[in-house]
This record gives sequence, C-alpha cells and structure tokens, in this order.
Amino acid sequence: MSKVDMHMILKKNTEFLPQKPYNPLCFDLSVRNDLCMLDLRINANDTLALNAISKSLKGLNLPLNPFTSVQNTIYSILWLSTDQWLIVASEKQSEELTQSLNQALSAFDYFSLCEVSHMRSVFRLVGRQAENIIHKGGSLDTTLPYFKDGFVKRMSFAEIPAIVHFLSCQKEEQMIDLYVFRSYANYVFEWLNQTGHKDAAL
Amino acid sequence: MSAKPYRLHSNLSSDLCGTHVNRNKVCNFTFDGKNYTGFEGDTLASALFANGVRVVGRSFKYHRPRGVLCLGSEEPNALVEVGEKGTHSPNLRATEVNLYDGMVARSQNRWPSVDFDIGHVNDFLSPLFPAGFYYKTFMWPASLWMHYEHIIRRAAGLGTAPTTQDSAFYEHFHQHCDLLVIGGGVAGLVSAYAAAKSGSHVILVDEQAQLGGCSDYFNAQIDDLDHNLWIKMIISELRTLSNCTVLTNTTAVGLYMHRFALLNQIVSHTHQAEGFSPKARLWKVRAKNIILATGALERPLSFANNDRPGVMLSSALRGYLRRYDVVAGQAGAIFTNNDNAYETAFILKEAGVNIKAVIDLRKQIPHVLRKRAESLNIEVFSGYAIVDVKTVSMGKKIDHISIARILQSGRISQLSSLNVDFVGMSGGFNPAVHLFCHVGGKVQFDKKINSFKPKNDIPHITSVGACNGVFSLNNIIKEAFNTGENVAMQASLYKKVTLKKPKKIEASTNSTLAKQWFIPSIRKYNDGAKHFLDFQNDVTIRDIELAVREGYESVEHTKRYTTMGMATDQGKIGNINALGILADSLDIDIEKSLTTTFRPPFTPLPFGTIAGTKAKTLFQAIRQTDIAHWHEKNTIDFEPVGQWRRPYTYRQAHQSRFDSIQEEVKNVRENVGLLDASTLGKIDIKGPDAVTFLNRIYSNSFSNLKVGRCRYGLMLNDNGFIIDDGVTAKLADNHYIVHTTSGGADSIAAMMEFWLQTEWRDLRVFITPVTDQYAQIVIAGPKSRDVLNACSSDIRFGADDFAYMDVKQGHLNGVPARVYRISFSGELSYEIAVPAAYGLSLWNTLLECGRSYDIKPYGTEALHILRAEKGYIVVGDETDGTVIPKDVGLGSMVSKKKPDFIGKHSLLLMDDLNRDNRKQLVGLFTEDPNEVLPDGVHAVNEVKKAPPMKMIGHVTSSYFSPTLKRSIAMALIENGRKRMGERIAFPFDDKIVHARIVDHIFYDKKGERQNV
Amino acid sequence: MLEITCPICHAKGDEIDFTAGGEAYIKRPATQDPQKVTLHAHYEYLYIRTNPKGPRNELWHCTRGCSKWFIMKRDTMTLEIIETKCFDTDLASEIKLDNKSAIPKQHIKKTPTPSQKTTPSNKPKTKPKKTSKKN
Repeated sequence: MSKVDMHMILKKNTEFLPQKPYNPLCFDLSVRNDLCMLDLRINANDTLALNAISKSLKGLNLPLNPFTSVQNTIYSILWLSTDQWLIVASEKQSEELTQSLNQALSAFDYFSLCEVSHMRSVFRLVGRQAENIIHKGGSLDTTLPYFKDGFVKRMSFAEIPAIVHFLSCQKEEQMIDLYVFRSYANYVFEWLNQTGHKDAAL
Repeated sequence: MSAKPYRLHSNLSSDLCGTHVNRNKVCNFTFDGKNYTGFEGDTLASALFANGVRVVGRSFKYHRPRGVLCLGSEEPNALVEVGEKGTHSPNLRATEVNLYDGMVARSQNRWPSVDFDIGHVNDFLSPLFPAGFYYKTFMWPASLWMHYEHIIRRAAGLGTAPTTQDSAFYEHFHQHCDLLVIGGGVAGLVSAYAAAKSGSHVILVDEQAQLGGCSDYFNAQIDDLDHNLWIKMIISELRTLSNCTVLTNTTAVGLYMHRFALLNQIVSHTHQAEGFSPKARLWKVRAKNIILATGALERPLSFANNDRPGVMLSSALRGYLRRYDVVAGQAGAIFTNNDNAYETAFILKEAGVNIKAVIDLRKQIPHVLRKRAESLNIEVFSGYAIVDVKTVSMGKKIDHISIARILQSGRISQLSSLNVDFVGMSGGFNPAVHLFCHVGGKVQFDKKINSFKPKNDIPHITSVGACNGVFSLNNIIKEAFNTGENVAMQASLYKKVTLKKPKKIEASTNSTLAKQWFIPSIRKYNDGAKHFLDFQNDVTIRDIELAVREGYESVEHTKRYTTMGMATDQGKIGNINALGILADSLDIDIEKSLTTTFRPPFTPLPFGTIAGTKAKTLFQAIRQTDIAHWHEKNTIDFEPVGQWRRPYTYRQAHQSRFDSIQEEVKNVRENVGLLDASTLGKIDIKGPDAVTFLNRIYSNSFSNLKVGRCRYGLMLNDNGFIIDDGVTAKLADNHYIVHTTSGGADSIAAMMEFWLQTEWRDLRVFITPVTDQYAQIVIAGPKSRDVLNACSSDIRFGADDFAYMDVKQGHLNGVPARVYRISFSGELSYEIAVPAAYGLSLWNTLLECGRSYDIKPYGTEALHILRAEKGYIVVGDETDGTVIPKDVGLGSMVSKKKPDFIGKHSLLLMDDLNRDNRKQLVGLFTEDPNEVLPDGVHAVNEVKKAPPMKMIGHVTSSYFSPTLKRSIAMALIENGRKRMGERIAFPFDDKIVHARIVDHIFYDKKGERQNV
Repeated sequence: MLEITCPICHAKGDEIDFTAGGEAYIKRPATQDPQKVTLHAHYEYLYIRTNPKGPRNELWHCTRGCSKWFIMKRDTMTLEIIETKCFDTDLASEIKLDNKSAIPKQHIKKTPTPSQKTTPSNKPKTKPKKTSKKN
C-alpha cells in the first residue's frame, strides 16, 4: 500500500480542453493551463496581516485599489474585492507559495486561503480584436478612467461569470486573460471559436 | 442592357440624379417568381419601380392592391419576404432591402397571387369588417370561434414565419461612449462632427446605406456651393476621426432608461450570410449623452382612395429620382398643403418627368412658387383638392384623378379630371419623436408644423433638427453645432477646437401650411371612397369616427379599437392624421389630445438578432465535469441538472433504458458502483465565527461537530421551508466545507454572503465557493472498500480507521485527496475529492482497480432509486418550497436549543406550519406491484365520476425498485403518517390506480448496510 | 436598463452587473433579540413591504464588481437613482479610486501596535449580540 505503483499515479487530464482553436480567429487564442491560483480573503484593514503577506510574496503588496493588479516576475495579484484577491503564479511555484503564505498567516485567525488552481480555466487573448471579443461577450465599460494596463474586473461574459484581466490595453497590442470556471471552459472555447472567427471581426 | 420604362436615362437628368446606383453593375433578382434586373445600390423598391412593378402587396384587411408609399423605413405597404421559402426573412420593407445579385423576393398577404387576390372581395364586403371587428367577433357564439378563427387568420395578416433553422450567425456587441448620435442627416452629421472634433468618443448611426439623410433630395447652397458638397466634406472628415464610429445600415430600434440604446446593424449584404460573418449585429450602447437627429416623416393627405398604387409621398418621389433615377409613372400630379412639395414638382419636371399640376389646398400660395411653376409649365390649382382617384384593372393602376375646388362650407365645386398615373402627396412633416418617447419623453403640439415635437425634458437626451421641429437648414446647422459642442464640453477628453462652420446658407423656406385633416370626396365610403389613415392596418377615417360613435374617445382606446398605429407601423404614417380626425370628431383642439404610446422597436427586429450568439451550439452555457468526455463515449442518455448535463444512465443505443437503470442499481447493492458527483456544490467556510455561522444557516446544530467528522445539514429559508441540504465536513478548527445540491451551489453561496453582509456583519467568516476546483467521485457498494484498498493511498479505509461520517485528507495514487465516508445510497460508500484535472484519471483508476469487483458506473436515475429505497429526500422532488422539515420526517433536524437560525421563528410562530393536517411524506405500494405511478399525480379522498374531487396529496418520486422487485413511490399526503396502511386512489389518464400507504423507508430501515 | 454605480468599489455598469435584493432596512426581529420575537413582528418582517410610488431604499449587490451589498435609493416611478450608500460608512471612505498613487495604502497608514491587532477580541466596530455567541 505504501509503495506507490508508478503507473497508478494520477495524471492531469490534458484533453479536457483543446489547446488550439479549430477556427481561424481574428486574435491569438491560447490556454494557460500551467498556473497556480490561490484565493485569498482577508480584512484589508488588518495592516499587520497585509504586511506579513507582502513579505511572503517577496515584497509584492496586495493591490487595494479596485480593478487593479500588481505583478512581479513570479506572481501577479488580482484585486477581486475589498477583501478578496487572486494570487496567480506558475504551477511550479505552487508548493512554495502556499507554504510561505500559510506560514505568514499562521499568526492570524481571520483569513481564508483556498487553493483554486483547478477552479478556473484561463484563456489568453492577444491582438487588436481582443477587446472587441470581450465586448461581444458582455458589458464592460472600457472608457472609464480606471481602465489602464493591469485592469481587472469580474463581468458577465457570454452569460457566465468571468474575470477579465487586461495585461495590456493598448489598442495595437491588447493582451487579455479571461478567467472562467473550469466547467464552462469548453463552452467558452466554443464561444470564442465561433464569435472570434476572423470573418466576424469588427 | 434593356432600357427600363421607369428608369430615366442618366444623360437626361442632372448630375444630382441616380447618385446611389452603379449602372455598371447589374443585379438579377426575382420578385414573385418573375425575373428582373436592377443596379447595385438599388433598394428592392427602386428596382421594382424601374421595372414598372407597381403592386407590391395586398393590404392587411381589405386586400387592396398596394404600391410603395415611402422611401425609407416608414414604408407601410411594401412588406416582402426575402430568401428561398422556408429560410426566408418575412416582413422586410422593400424600401430598406438593398438589392444584390441573385436576390429572391416575394410579396406577402396575397393568395393566390398579388395580381389576383381572392381576399380582395373583403374590400367590397367592407361593411362586414368595421373597426372593432375583432372585438365584435368575440361576442358571436363562442362555439363558432373554432370555425372562423382560421379564416380570419388567413385573411388578415402579415408575412409567414420561416420553417427551417436560420443558418446565419448573429451577435451582440456592447459599447460605451460619450455621445451617441442617432440619424446621419445634416443635423446628426454636424452634431457628431462638432463633438468628435472636440475630443468626445462618438458613435453615429444611420439606418440607411449612405449618410446624408434627405439632403440629397433637397436643393440648397452652403457658402455658394451645392450643400451636398459641404456635407460630403463633413462626412469624409468624420470618417478620419478615430474617436468616431460611424455605423450605416444600422437602425436605433429602441431607447431605454439611463441612455441605453439598442442598435440593429445589418452586416451581411445578402440574405444568407457568408460563413461565420454575422448577418446582423445588435449593439447595446450606453452613452453619456444622446443626440436624436432622427428627422421627420412626411404625412399623407387623407383623401379618397389615397392608398392606390401610384399615390406616394411627395418627398419619396423626389428621393427615388435623385437616388435611383426612377419615377413612379409617366405623368403625375402633386397634391399638397405646404411649400415643400413644390420642390418635388420642380425637381421632377427639371429632370424631364411630366408633372401636370400642383394641387394645393391653400388659397394663398407664395408668389415665388407660383411663378416658378408657371415658368416650368406646371399648372397650379390653389384651393383645390384631389377628391377621388380612379383606377383601372381592379385598382392596380391609376387612370385619372378627380380634382375640385374646396368651398368654405366643406362642399366641393368645379369638378374636373386630370389624366395622371402617379400622385405625390404632402400633408406636412411629423418630427420622428418615436425614440424620444421610448424613454418616456413627452411631446407638445406645435401649431407651426401642425404636429407634435419633443418637450426635451429628459436629461442628456437632446433632439436636434427636424425631429425637434426645426426645418430650416440654417437653423438646423446652427442648432447641431451648438448641441454637439455643448455635449463635448461635458466629456472628460474635451479640447477646444475651431470648427468649420458655414458662413452663408441659402435654402427654401416654408410658409404656413393648410390645416385640414379631412379632404372631402365625391362618393360615399361604401361606394369606394375610403380615406386611409393607417395604410398598414387598413384604418380609415370612418373607422375613427365609428370608434368615437361607439364611445372609444380616449386616444389609447381608439388605437386598440381600430388597430391604428399598431404592428410594424407604430404610428409612423397615420398617427397624426388619425389624431387630427379624432380631435375633429370629438370637436376638441388637437393640442389637448394626447399621442398614443410609441413602443420599441422602431422597426422590426428579427428573432436572430435578439438571440445573438445564444443559438445553435451556444444556445445555453453548458457546464461539464472533467469526466464529461468519458461519459459522452459511454452513454447516450443525459439529463440536465441546472446547466450541467449528467449521465442519466450508462447505456448504448441497443440497450433499454429500464434494464440499464435496474442493472446499475443492482450492481451498487451487490457489488460496487461509481458516480460522478463533481457537480455537487462545494463552499469553503473559514473564520473564527464559522460554527456560529453554520448554526444560524442550518436548522440543525454544528456546535459539537469534531474535526474530521461530517454532518448532514438542512437549510431553510426564513419562512421555514426547506431550500437545500447536504453534508458539511469539519476539516480543521474554524474551517468547514459545505456541500450543496448541484443546482443550488451558486444561489446558496450568494445567500450566505447576503446574510453575512447585511444581517450578521459582526460574524468573522469568509466563504469561498470552490465547486469547480474539485472532481468528486462516489464509490458505493459492499465492495467499495476493497476497491479503495487496491489503490495506493496513505489513508486507511478499514472500518476501524475510517468510520461512517468521517472525513480524511491524504493522498490517493500520488495526488492530494479528501475522502468522505458518507452515503446517499445506504451502502458502504466513500466520496473522493481530488483537484479537478485529476478527476478523469481517478475515475479510470477506480474502474481499473474495481474491475475484479465488477465495478460499474451508475447515472442519476440509479442514484435516485438508491436513495428512494432508503427514503432519503431530494430537495426539489420531495420539497417544493412549501415543505418544512417535519413534513418530510426530519423534525429532529430542527434544533430546539439554538436561539436563532434561519427559519426558526416561522416554524415556531406561524400557525400554518403547526397545523395537524399538513401533508406528510409517506411511502406507497401500488396494489399492482408492476404499476409505477407517474411523478406528480394527485391522490383523492373519494373517487367520483368527474372532477372536482378533493385532492389530498401527490406523488413526489416514483420508481421501479430492483431491490424490492416492485414499484415504490414517495408522496406527500395529508395526515399521511396517521394513515399508515390506508388504501388511497390516484385517478389519472382515464384510469384509477390504488396504493397502500407505507413507511417511506423501504430498505434497510436500521441503516446497517452503510455502517459496516 | 438602469446604470448603477457601486458606492463601495465605484464599479459603474448595467443593471445586469448587479443583483436586486428587495427593500432595504427591513428589520429581522430574531437578529435583534431571538427571545422576544412576536408573531406580528415576524410576520411584518417576512411579508410587509412599503412598495411606494416614488423613492424607495433597496438592497443591491455588486455582483460583477466587489461582490458587496449596498443600499440604493431609487425612485420607482422615474427610475432615477437618488443615492447609493454602503452598510459600513468606514468602508466607503477607505476606498477611493486613486490609481495614480504609487504607494499602497498600508504603508501610508499608521501601523497599530501588534498587541492591538492580533488579539481575537479585536472585532469590527459593531458590537456582537450577546445571544448570538451562544449557539
């Protein structure tokens, strides 16, 4: 029992979601499936805890302004609410990140840190038409003053809850990460393939 | 290229004519099966004119032959179908359909053909079809309705619905902007130009294919040049601005609260869109400001037989000439009450069209007009009116018109006739206030234009130009510049710029128009002198008068009684005339009468556009577990559970559903089964007050739950009714995971947040929904432990190490796993949660490890039978939002100790929840063990020959149990628990099934099997 | 479709980005004192609403923004949104849309002494009800 039979080690399902679009699209679509994600909830007034978190994230502070994100070479942190953040790193960082955060927070009793790496699928949309695809999916006001690089917001995309993260919102080189719940991933993939078809470009 | 009788030669007309058509590109098309040709740039209407096709449809009620009346979207008559029968689009206005090569189009509402229509007899039987006809038919014997309904339906109506799936794609597009300008005429163009130049983000839309509105069929000079040149300059400048989006072929169909607009953009040039390119795109625009520059619609004059093919709006005649170089006939007359129509006469005459006369209702006519008409050899009859239109060939062609002098008394004299085959009529112009009224804008009567104009009482929505009752070009341009600049100043990116404003504008001015709603005629209504107000709905002056006589005096009543202003017309053509006639009949001032409510859409919106991407494979958002692809390969039988598709039973096409399900149940009872339960809602709950929170959310207590243990919880709403249930596990101090029903996951998490944020703000708890993070697999059956033991794990599954209702965290086959020993089947059972991506691998591994134990997957139906045999409830089956815990035998799950939990005080205080004779959950054995009761059938107290019979309850779940080898059912029956052993009857489908009330736990009453 | 701005995160969006939660300021008697809930008070709490023609306080949820509930005064006749406010007025003053500020707020604010912050008794300002802790 204790000895693990190698062929019986569980493997990740790589066929759940196609990796490449099957239609010619008007933007570059890729799937980011090597991410580690942590859902952090903590009272933003708990300065001490925020400092401890910052220390464990190699000096990166939780973004406190709505709809903003911060990142360094290892982590990015997305603001989700006044007391909720999504910490994103590469899968390799998973163990170290979880450990250091748990350690940092061990002195506190009022927080929640949930491993959610598998909860969402992340699509990366790149190109001039990327923002238009988002507009086809739902209402998102990109004319507001806080729409800048790093802009992150929940939205209703193709009738489902999603998070959009504008890594770059410059007209010529738009880069958007679209986070959707894993169970919707195939539906969203199909949606992007149909609505993002190059014939349907604006 | 064969010459068309009604298409002028380009060399005869001026440079300004035929501007829209490209004579080098011929388009072949068919109309009602006949082949015709037109040019690129034609609309279907102009191409039909060019080919001399005058009759394009039959009217709604009387089936009178009808021709094209208008130039644009307000067209009431020329409704056509485009596309092959079956996939066609109905009810399109020929005036808006851009011609393309290969177009197939048909007229509507005619049988057998538009030339010979049997329904035309309705015209002669019109006394039988008065206003309020529909209301009156309802008073005929109701038993006859079945007989005449289909006759009426066939006789009156618009197009037919397509019968096959629409293969085209549609999409929605959301946008925000500083300014939305609706209407691309002079007013809209200038406003958009002024605002966009000043830095605002502007969207400019126009329903036509080309910008400029009606400017191309007016004559004016701006800075000593033709005004069209200046407008072209504005257009080309607008198109270069990156902050201005110009959309043509795009109709603003509706305006809604807080400056929200729906724009229907026709993307595809042809009826069948190519590939993935959308046929139409619905823009949902939220603007900070909206400028309405929707222009004005010309009013018809209400004279006898004003609906004959060949009678058109005066401005439309001009438009068809200027844009497409087509005319409606060989010789024409203009009938007017204002100056504007003279321009039609002059422009047509100058282009070589035989305009015989202008008939003007007014006695006083501006000298310039009279002089110019004289010089062009056009006779002017002032103080005259057209009193009849005589037709040949069953009303399809005008033979001549009768004109007469109108006397003060309303009588006529000096009757004469004029041989013409087309008439241009103008009764003045109505500002197009429709969109303004969509958002609740109020209108006021303007005597100068004899029509209603907007009150401009809605913040951030401004009407400009003709739709604001401003008709002089000079004023329109001035107003548009001002409004555009003012709006731009409010925008964040305002920059002051110098705008190219015209210095000198010369255009024709308008003098007073004649205010006369009713034009007398020489015959009576039933002798063939109908004065049409609403052409589309066949409403005549007599109908309005009849409505008034019968007491329908309020304008909204009149509208409903006569159907005027209904259907696609929405009051575009006839409303103001009808209001005038109504005011006259009531002898009141039209200023005091109100308009009817204009409703969206401005022009019809196809269903495809409304559905957008929500069609075909994207009809609904579908949720899939990680094991979904395996399921798809192994069964054809799915059932929807919320947005999920869960395998109903694993069977191949040749298997019977029943056998497959029975096999699955038996295998769980005898061997071991596998169920994909990933869809179950999972909510992570953490914080110092987590247990307090759970105690308030659930009806039962969680105070003494120990780490590593699970507990079944019952969730009520504050009315005391069951809304959800599930197992909660305590993972660590202050850390729980709550399982909800598959369908309830989102709403329960939302409800928890609601209570935390609004009612119990002092509780220090965080809740995180984590449903999709985990794949969760149930392994159930006496051999399930053996299968798990064959896996490699650091968790011990033995009875001593892993007790019933324990939760353990560890690893399974090298992956972190959480295992719950809980059971919904009554068998020894474990639920294993692993990170979602490992779900399929775990599923396959368990199947592999279980092969020697006869492991088999089971679907949702087997799951339901297994739980029903055990008497476990399913929220939504045994409960329906009116069921309290006691009703379903779970009274013990209501804590008496806790001071407060959701639902507690309703259970305590509400009389109805404490009455004796509530419906209670019981089991049923049908007398015939093979008879399976249908879900939902009602039990009655006493069987009578016919209803009503007092109902005492209903079946909530019903199955054939393979374990008991007989049918079993659960039911909610009045006083059920006191009726044990009683025989009750279920009458349904012409039969009566009798059943005996038994305990609702059918199998293993002591629960020994799950506890081994 | 209404255009709503969340008073907490200042998300501005269509009505579909928000969720309506019915009339606000409905007092739940059991929260105030679970021992003294009368049938009448409980009945009013469950079923009686003012349903005015005119301004009404409503609960709204910023579903596609910060996921917080807030109070919105809305005219039921004109649909005009008169004002929005947070449950917790502290929260509103805390969060300002200030993307220019490079220094995160936790560094600007005075750091309280550790003993103050880590004691479990350090709860938000609202006083917890005595009874609510017993269950």
